Amino acid sequence: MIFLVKWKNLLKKNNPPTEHLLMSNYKFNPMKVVVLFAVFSTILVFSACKKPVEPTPKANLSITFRAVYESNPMVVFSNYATPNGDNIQFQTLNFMLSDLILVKTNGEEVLLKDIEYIDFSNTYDVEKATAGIVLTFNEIDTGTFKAIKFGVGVSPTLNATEPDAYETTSPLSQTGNYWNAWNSYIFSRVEGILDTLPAATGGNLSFFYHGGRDEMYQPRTFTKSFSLDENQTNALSFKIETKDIFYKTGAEMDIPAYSSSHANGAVGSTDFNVSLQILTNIADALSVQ
Amino acid sequence: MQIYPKYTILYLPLVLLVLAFSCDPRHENIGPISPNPGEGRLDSIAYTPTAYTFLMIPGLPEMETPADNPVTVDGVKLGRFLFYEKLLSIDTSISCGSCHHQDKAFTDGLALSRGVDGAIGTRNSMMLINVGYNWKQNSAHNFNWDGKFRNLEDQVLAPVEHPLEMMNSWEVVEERLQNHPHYPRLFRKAFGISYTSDITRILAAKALAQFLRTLNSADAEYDRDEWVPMVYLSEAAQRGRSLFLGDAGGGTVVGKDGECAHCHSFTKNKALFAGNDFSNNAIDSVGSFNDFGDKGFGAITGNAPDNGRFREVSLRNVALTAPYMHDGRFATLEEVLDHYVEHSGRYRGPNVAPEVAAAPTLPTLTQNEKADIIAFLHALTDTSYFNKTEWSDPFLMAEPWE
Repeated sequence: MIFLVKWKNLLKKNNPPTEHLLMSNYKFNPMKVVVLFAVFSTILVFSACKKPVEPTPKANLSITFRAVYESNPMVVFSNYATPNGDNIQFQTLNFMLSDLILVKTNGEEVLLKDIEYIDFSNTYDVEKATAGIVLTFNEIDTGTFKAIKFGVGVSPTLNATEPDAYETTSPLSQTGNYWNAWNSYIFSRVEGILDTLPAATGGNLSFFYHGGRDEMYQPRTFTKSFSLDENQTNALSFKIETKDIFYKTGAEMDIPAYSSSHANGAVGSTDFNVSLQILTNIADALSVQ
Repeated sequence: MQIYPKYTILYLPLVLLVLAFSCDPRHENIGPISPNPGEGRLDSIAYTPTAYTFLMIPGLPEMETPADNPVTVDGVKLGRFLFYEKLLSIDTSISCGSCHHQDKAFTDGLALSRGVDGAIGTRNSMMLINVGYNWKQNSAHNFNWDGKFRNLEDQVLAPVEHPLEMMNSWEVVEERLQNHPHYPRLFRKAFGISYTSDITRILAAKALAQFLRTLNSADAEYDRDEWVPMVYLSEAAQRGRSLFLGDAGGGTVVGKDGECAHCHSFTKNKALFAGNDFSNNAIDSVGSFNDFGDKGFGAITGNAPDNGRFREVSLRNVALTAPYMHDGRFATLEEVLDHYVEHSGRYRGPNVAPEVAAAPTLPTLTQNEKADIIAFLHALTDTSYFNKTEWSDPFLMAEPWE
């Protein structure tokens, strides 16, 4: 303020109100130069440094995904009783999630991540299965929210890309997650064994379902009221009821009849339908807690 | 307040000083100071690091490198010398190159590699062509059959002290390198060290890793089919490619799937033919997780279901890298294919990869179809680097240090 006052005084002192912009009327005053220099250099000093602006409130959020079988932690390589009287054992269960978005109560959407990879393949014991897979997001908008949404699989936009486009930090960079044969990422893998065979042949039927094509992408919205507050630990959790992948009433999958699928058949073919059913069931088996 | 013009000259430097120091209080890091100044000074040798330019090879992606080990021309040069340097072994009898021959895609043709005094190792020498691409930034298990090492810089340290390999200690190697007539100069040029005593295993590992990251090549019949107009795979290899990918590959074989591309995956622009994950491909029939003679990945992770799992290696140059598997048990590609056909679809243990265990048509492959897959595997052979001087043993040159 002091400098502004001096600046006004200088103008008043040396320049008539209506003529002060004319060079011919300008009267050189060394004292004025010194003061002006002091004013500008001081402004420069303060503006050169980043002013401590008031930060927009940001929050951290963790989202945990837990796999369960009949509501109990699902441990890979462990047997679980099926409705048919067999035992089923999951050995691999993973899937991609695209476009994770939080929806504010006012409808505004906050994108958390365009792709995530949920892999339960290392949940070898109850402790790990209970801990689940934790995704962490930092520096996201605070506020009140009404839903979270994502797509199970790889969104058509991302599915049009190929692994060489990504650094190895991205799950999309791995050729093992991509089907070169039909230009699509593998949206999900479900692998394991079912002890439905006679003991003479080993007693176990192996199965694997690798699905993924644009037509199989499964967008879902999960209604959930919550708020994200600054300086607090914010957490959401999802569970996937793995029993529903194969045994949900009305959407059963006959594993002995179709023990593998690549999603490679024509639309409407058996192979296509098996993969589509598995992906649909995975998406439907997810629920927010 | 009255300001006198004559003091302006004093005010200007003050402002400039304030401007210079007002924003960032950090001072330039001038690096460590050697604890042994004086003897062994290397400062007189010019240190002008030049970034190494990786060749852009069709079919291979951009090479990722750790931020703390940028690849330089002099780093690669030093790494090449160290790769072929027998001083790394306790009796100066073997080097890295002893188990990694350039004309065998940097393998050694043995089932199990030989160390000092002919000690027989426990694993088959791994191919080093394109080895830098095994690195996944988020993975802790990027190198070796069992995924023991996260980084190449960690991996290359191990053979020196392994009792079945070089049997040496890094203290001895560091002393040998520090007192060598030529290495201090190469280390100075690669890393800008000031004293011979600054030569450490860490820098040696960095140089070796830099050299290994340059061993990239993709110039096989398969690549020419992909990238050179009017050049095609043989008919047998085309059929084999379809079987390798499965019937969705769009080839001439309909209804059969070798299931190979599950673990040896590739795309046109990232044609590594490697999943680099870990799986049990049914080569051992076991009753439980604890029955594996070599637990492989499980010995590293401590998770029983990982026992018997090994790296899904690249199949580039596979025709040059016999014998096969982590223990070299299969002498030929024909034996490998026979294994998959005979043992898929059968119970061979609790954690056999379902792609093998449940493969619906793999057990039905005929001799001709197996031969077609092998024809495709031969189409992955690349010999373009056999005589590449910059990858060869410099000690075979008349004046290696020039």
